[in-house]
Amino acid sequence: MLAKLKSINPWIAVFVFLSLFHLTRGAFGDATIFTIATAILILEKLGKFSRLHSRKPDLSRGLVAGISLVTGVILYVSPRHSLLDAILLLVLLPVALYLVWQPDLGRKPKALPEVRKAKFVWFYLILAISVVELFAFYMSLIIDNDYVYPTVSVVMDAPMDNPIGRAIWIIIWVLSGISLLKVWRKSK
Amino acid sequence: MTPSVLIPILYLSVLVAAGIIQLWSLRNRDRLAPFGELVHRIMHYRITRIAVIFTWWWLGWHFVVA
Repeated sequence: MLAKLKSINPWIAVFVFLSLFHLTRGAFGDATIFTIATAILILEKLGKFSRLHSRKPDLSRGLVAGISLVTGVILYVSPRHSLLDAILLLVLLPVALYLVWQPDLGRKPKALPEVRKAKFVWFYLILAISVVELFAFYMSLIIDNDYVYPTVSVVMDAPMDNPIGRAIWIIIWVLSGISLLKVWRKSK
Repeated sequence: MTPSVLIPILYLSVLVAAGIIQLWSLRNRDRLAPFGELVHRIMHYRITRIAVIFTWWWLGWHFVVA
């Protein structure tokens, strides 16, 4: 039993939890997103996606800058929660997944001690913010008031409705996407 | 201090701690790998890349669209 639990990929476990969490809080859109993501992760774990493309696609920096600029401008100019934002994000998801879909290149080398320490530190930072968020969420449910124990979403509402706050958030989100997708650095 | 003040301070504290840790690790790479290096390492397997990209994308969806 323990061996079976250990064999479950931690990302699948986290995504199953997130699907159920969003389902129980009545956020059916988020629950659907995480359920689809979980299904994709399970299919990936079962080796069903091995023949899509063989190496990471190389995009020109001009194209990356253009897509990033258009994305940023649309997200900034169009009203928050608009259909245009939804369409843009729905187009970006498969593109982003395609850009990281290249097959694995062998086993991961053993982590250096400084990397192991960083993993530990960042894990506990993410855990800390998740615990505060969960506490705020359940307290809000118990007292039926979103503003006494504000979740991250409630705290972020005011800055996201402010033009400067929204611009900062969009810049951070777009740049972190470029960084995660590794589309700016040129392959050697 | 009321929870409506304390909770955002806790979020901010974690963010500030993350910022300080990141700055420190950039100057002490041999003792603690910077966040970027850690992300580069965890993105080795496709299953992790898919999960990380979904998480990043969902943050955009959640704060802008949903």
